Amino acid sequence: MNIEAGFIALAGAVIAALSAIYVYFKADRKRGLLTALRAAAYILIIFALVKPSFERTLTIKRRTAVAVIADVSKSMGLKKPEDKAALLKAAIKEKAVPLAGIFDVSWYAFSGTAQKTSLEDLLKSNRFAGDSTDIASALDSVAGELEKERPGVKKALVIISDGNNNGVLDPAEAAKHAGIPVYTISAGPQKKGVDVAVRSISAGELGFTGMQSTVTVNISGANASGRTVRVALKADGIEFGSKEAVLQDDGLETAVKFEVTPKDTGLVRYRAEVKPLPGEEDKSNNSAECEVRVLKEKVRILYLSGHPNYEYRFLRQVLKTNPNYEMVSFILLRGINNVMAFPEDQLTLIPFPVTELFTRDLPQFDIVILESFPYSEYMPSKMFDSLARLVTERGGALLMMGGDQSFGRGGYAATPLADLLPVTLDGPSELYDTAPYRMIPEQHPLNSLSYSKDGDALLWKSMAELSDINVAAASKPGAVVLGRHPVIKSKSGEFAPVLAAWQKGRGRVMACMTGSTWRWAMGTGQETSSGLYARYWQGLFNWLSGVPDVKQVKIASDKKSYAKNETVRLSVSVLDEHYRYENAATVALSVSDPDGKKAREVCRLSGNGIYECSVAGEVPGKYSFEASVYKQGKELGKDACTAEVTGSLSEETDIYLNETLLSEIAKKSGGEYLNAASGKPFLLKIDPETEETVSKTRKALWDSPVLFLFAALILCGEWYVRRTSGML
Amino acid sequence: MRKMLQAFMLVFFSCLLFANNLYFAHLKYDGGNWDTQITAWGELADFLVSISNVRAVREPLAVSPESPELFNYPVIFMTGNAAFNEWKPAVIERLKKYFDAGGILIIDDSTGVKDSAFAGSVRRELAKIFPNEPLERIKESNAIFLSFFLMPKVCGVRQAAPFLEGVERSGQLSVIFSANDMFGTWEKDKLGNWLKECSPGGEAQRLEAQKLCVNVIMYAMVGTYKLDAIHTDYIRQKMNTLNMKIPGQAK
Repeated sequence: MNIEAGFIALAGAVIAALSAIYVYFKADRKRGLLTALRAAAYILIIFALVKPSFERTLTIKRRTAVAVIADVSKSMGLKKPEDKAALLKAAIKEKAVPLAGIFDVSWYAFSGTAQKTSLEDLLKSNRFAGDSTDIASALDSVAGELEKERPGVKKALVIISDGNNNGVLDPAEAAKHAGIPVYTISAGPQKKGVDVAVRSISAGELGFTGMQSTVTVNISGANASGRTVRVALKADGIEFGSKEAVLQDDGLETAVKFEVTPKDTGLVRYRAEVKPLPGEEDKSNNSAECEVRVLKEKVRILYLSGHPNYEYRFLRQVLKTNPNYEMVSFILLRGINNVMAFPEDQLTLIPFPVTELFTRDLPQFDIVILESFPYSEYMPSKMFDSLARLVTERGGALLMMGGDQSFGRGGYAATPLADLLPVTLDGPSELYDTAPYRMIPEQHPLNSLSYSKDGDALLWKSMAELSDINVAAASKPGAVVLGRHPVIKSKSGEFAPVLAAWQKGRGRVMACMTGSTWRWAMGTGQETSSGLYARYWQGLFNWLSGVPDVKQVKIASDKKSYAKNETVRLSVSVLDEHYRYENAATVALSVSDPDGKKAREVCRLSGNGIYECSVAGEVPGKYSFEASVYKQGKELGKDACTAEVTGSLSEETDIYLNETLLSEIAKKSGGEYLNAASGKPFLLKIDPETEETVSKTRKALWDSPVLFLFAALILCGEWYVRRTSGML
Repeated sequence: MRKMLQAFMLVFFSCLLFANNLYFAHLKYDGGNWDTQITAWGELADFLVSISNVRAVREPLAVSPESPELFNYPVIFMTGNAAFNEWKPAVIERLKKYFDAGGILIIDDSTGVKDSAFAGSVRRELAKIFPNEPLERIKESNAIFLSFFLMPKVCGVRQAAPFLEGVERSGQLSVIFSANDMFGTWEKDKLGNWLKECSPGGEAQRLEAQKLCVNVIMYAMVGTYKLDAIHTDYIRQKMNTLNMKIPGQAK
């Protein structure tokens, strides 16, 4: 309601009426009546002028959407030592069903993927046949479905499972990226005998010859707290070393670190093994493997910035925190036009070594970044010839960032750099627009921030607006535009490219037409997006430096390990020379089984540059796969991977709970973990309802014929009193 | 007419350079006095623009921690001279997100008095935001003392504490706290005279404090840039020549 002004008028009317009564009784009665009538008329006029009105806001309360996702994989059908299916159903009945009275609950069953179902079907079904437990995929698909079906409503996910994930993606990371709190409930027996397990082994994606790096092995135990075990590390089957470690309480991991220094380039497979404890029955989890691609040396980056700015600070943080990069940077802290009233010995500024950099040192760098750098004040444009050679002949990379001294506006259109760039530059009058906008990303592997297309769309939608763009005249033929401005068009008629890249000679060039990507790191305050910002730029730098993260050909298996006779599904992702999906290639797969027997297969296109092939894992041991991709007789690239076939299916041997994973999923997503056997109540710490404003209606109190009639009556009354009293 | 033209030019250039401008965005809080050094910012902006390539905007801005604009400013300033109200949990959460995203808060105690009521309120709220990362003395070897001027003395209008304090996370300072009213050294009256007299060091102290202000702002723009090997060798050489004590090394 918005009637404050009306109340003021009414208060005035009351005061006027009281005054009139006072005058009527204490003084001349007729004068009092006339005063009252005149005052009432004025008040009505004021009442009409201030236009009082009622505002009614209609809000509705929508119930929070909760999706309960129950594990129906084969491992949940195991009956010994306890009936896991019965435990699952009990957890559903006791913990999840009460939620239906408070929240809007939908029910899903998952194994490889999640499928919507009903509570009745979940409780009735005795079919636990799923060959895998892919928690990450289930979370991703259910979160996407909820967002589509219930936009604008608070959400939570509840997973009931034994936690024995065997999907490829990390479920805890998937839970974090889903952006919805994930609550986990255990359904399975806790380990009774002693057990020691290698939870993970990590060594980073890349290593460098002659440079020390760390291989971290995380181990945990069950009913073995305080026991000492020996962890051995093997590199390509040869023992590297071993260390003793003390096991912590159940569910807690102990990290064992090995310092390694690779000697040769190529793929190195590290395997960590823990000797079984006396009486340990389950020995299947006593080892784990990872692969590291060893490169010749670190990626060296030269970053030249025209002035102190936030883009530099945020990109520096990304580059400095990645051990694979070595950065040398120069910022023009002081311009040639700045006045300096302080002696040089009070400053920390160093002269910009332009000649040494561009004539002597440049070939040592793999990537050169130019960010709003006013080249004309510091170096002749012929210096750029050596930069052009670095890219086209030596296979280096150039990244030009936007700003008011970049691209055409910075005078680069007249330099050899203009030929290198994937966009056609305008002259010095190039439009540099500073209105905020949200970049429209093109569908491309470099723009992939999530595990799925829908997830990507949501993440890009959540990224903050950028606040500047150098508008190029056009993107060049052969350039890959990764993102565009939603409104501003280039002279060519296309929406202005924000990010464009291409292969130039032996090297790569990227034009980032903005200097405000730091806004992606700062985000909007809704949720922290600095991780996304860092991940996105890491991907772009990986592409620029040609490290394997974005290879033209990439092969991957659908699972880490397979049971005997299980099908190994392989997918080969193929990009063309411009890093667009390649759908017209021939993909040949070379298979080598653990006995050394070789076979060849042809992969079939399944869409978006993905080619698939299946191989039966008949022999226990390590299978090696190599994909060779050709187009019109020309080789596009090769990639290799391995897969382990074990004697039995993990779904048939995963008897016990993996509480560590269930806790981690909950912790990383902001949810909570509950052991169903603990007897504790299951509570979701989320509002049961979201209030939403549906409409606002306003009714004017002054705009009424009754009010007009009343005013007319008052005036007529005053005229009548004056007439009868001989005052007219 | 001239004033209108100046205003137009200011707005025009502000828009033109929006993405990477330094705005003096002030954290507006309830209770106490959040806007204590009214004339300082224009003077400081002019100085920065005249001696460096920092694109500083003269007019200060007020930003509430709950406003969506907070995240437009990767560096915010907080000043005060009195105790202020406790921050609501929503404000604490929002500032946590701000720091997680990479934001930097520069706090200056305008009283220039050690352990003032304002400082007490600041410490109380920072302890809620960073329960495991206390406000600690910033070491002399930190990049903040090298970011533009060589090792300026830590002082302000007063010399309440001969050190800066800060909260460091992932190798970067998220909070920088000065107890000395360093921004107060920029305040001028309408006739262009310095408003506050610096004591006990007089004008020499003012100069050092102003150099420190430049370093703090430069740090907020370029981070630990001056700790790169290419700079440290040069700086070490310069300090040796000047017979200065190199932090972390015996003279």
